[in-house]
Amino acid sequence: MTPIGLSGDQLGLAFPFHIVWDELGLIVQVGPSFPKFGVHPGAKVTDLFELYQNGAPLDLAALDPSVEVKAHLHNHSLVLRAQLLGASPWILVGTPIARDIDELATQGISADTLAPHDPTLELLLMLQGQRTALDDAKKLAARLKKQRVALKKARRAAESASRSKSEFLANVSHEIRTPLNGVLGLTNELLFTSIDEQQRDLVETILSSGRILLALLNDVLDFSKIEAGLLAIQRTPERPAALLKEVLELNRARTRAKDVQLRMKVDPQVPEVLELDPTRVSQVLQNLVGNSTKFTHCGSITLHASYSADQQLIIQVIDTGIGISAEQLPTLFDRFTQAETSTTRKYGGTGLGLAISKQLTLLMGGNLTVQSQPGEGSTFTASFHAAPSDRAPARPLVSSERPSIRPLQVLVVDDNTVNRKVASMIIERLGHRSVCAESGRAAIQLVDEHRFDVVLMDYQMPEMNGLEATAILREKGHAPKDLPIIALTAAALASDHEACLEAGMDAVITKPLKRGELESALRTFSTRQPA
Amino acid sequence: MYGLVNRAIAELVCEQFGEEVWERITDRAGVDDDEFVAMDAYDDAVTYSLVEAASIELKLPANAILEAFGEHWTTYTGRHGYGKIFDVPGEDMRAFLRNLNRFHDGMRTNFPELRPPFIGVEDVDEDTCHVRYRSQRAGLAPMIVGLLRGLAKIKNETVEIEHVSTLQDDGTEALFKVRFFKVPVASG
Repeated sequence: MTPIGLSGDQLGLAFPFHIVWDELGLIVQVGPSFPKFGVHPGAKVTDLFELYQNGAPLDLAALDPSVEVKAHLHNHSLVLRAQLLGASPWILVGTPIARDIDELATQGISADTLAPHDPTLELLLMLQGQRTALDDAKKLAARLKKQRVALKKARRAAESASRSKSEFLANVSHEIRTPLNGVLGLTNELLFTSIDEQQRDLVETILSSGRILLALLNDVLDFSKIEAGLLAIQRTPERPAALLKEVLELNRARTRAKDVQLRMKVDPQVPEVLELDPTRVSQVLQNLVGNSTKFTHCGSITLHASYSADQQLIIQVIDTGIGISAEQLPTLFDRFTQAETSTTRKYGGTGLGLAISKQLTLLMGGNLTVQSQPGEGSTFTASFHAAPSDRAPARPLVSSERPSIRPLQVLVVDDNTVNRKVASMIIERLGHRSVCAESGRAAIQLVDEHRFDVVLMDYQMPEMNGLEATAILREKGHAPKDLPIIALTAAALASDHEACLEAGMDAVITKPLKRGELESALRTFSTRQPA
Repeated sequence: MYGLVNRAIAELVCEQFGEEVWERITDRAGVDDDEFVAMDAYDDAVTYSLVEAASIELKLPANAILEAFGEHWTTYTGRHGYGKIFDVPGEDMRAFLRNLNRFHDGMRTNFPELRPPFIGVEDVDEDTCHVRYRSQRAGLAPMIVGLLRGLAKIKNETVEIEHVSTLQDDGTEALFKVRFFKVPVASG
């Protein structure tokens, strides 16, 4: 029995790392884990170990059992944290100290050399696990960072590719539109010539097909501009009621043949004048009402305008048409999507109209939603952010009384022969006279030599564009009241409109040149007294 | 299974067959996120589906893949944060296997959802022992052959491993015979 009441085997089991030495310092017993480290009975304890108490070498003559002992095996990395038990013989029981699993392994400690109750292994495994977790977290963070950089690059490349594609599409659409405008303009003029009924029928078919083609092209152009981020929203004072009325009037002819009533309701809360983009709001409404007239065969189509406290102009287009099924609703505003493929065959369209309208409402700080049930009609709700305005609307109220027209001398400036021809024909058909110039420079010379009431100036021309020519004309003293200049632009970008007005132009007409629009603009100037 | 296991599978495939093959395997297995976090517990189904997909993509039996993975696992853990861990449970292979259950117990502090297999070692004679494997997971017994082979390499021992019997039809329990050679066995 040892002095602490345990047999040698029991002590060995409980403390595999223990040594017992006598009053001479000779080891008389060692724990079962020691022999593999060369610690055997008979050796002097101080020959095998450096023993420390409180950081000072241990004095075997003055041992203090209450103080922890550190035992460092000579010529070995094994260090024990130990405790003295009993006195003469002295018993030192200990356990290896290691910072990590690797050090434990280097010391030659294996699981079976530790006492079952010794938590050293578990603690070191826990520590190792935490280090591994930390290391793992660092690696994951590094990988995540790398992926984010790659993702960012890929996104930029994708956006750039998408922008390039959209710009290309916009350019191509624009290039196609120019000759198409010529075809449409001249075909329209053909109707005013002496042709027989059969020829008229053929010309009208060409014209309606051309108009459908132009509408499709405009949709593609608009969508690519939105995708390329090139579509800017203008804000001008506008009467919402007038906009609604115009949209209804435009669609009246299409519903007249059917048993469909067109109605309009404007809540009293809607301010009379709002700051909004009339062109784009009209485009959205025209698209919605156009759809409703397409899909409503009897009943009514109602435009209902209201105004919310957060300055949203809300316009509902309520129809009693064929409706839309629940399955088709979620993808209705996706591009190139129509309720059914059969719809395209039956009703036509690119499937871009609603997608464009949705994007436009979002660009204008609003939204476009739909509620519908098959057979019970649809309600499209378009909202636009529109602050009340105290400025006067740019466009006058629609008046049924047309002022008398004074024949005008109009200078048409365009580098494109067909465009000049179309403009001249329309102008002359409207009872005015036209002179053509094929460049900005030629226009300036003509204005210097002759008197003109109005100049119709193309925006984009080689050598000297419309902006430069206008600026020179204004510099030369041709004031707007004497010589109004109407810009003709194909780009239809807000920035182009602004540039035209800044250069000194008085109005902007978007290509393709439409007889009604030109007539309206010329009418404005024909009512002015000649200078 | 912990993410560490799935990552070891990924490393094995990428090292031996390339990253494209691993991508095909994860696609086939329906595993979208293969950034496994070592100390996160994943559904066992993820590991099983990866093994199944690997078997199809590599045109190898699932057992061969599990066996290869078992061997890879022994070196993988050594290289990923557990440097000399195979020295600690025991000095030689037999001691290692005897202490493995205690060792796995110790690992539970870090891996609380760890469900390690039970490994029982019975000495047949001086050169032979039986290794009894019992797991809560089905079908992983072939992995033990690879693990034993990898362990022998680490411990620099020459062994012959025999899958003696599958004690449960679902492969949750199996018996292996390990024969130790004092001199290296001539190959071929």
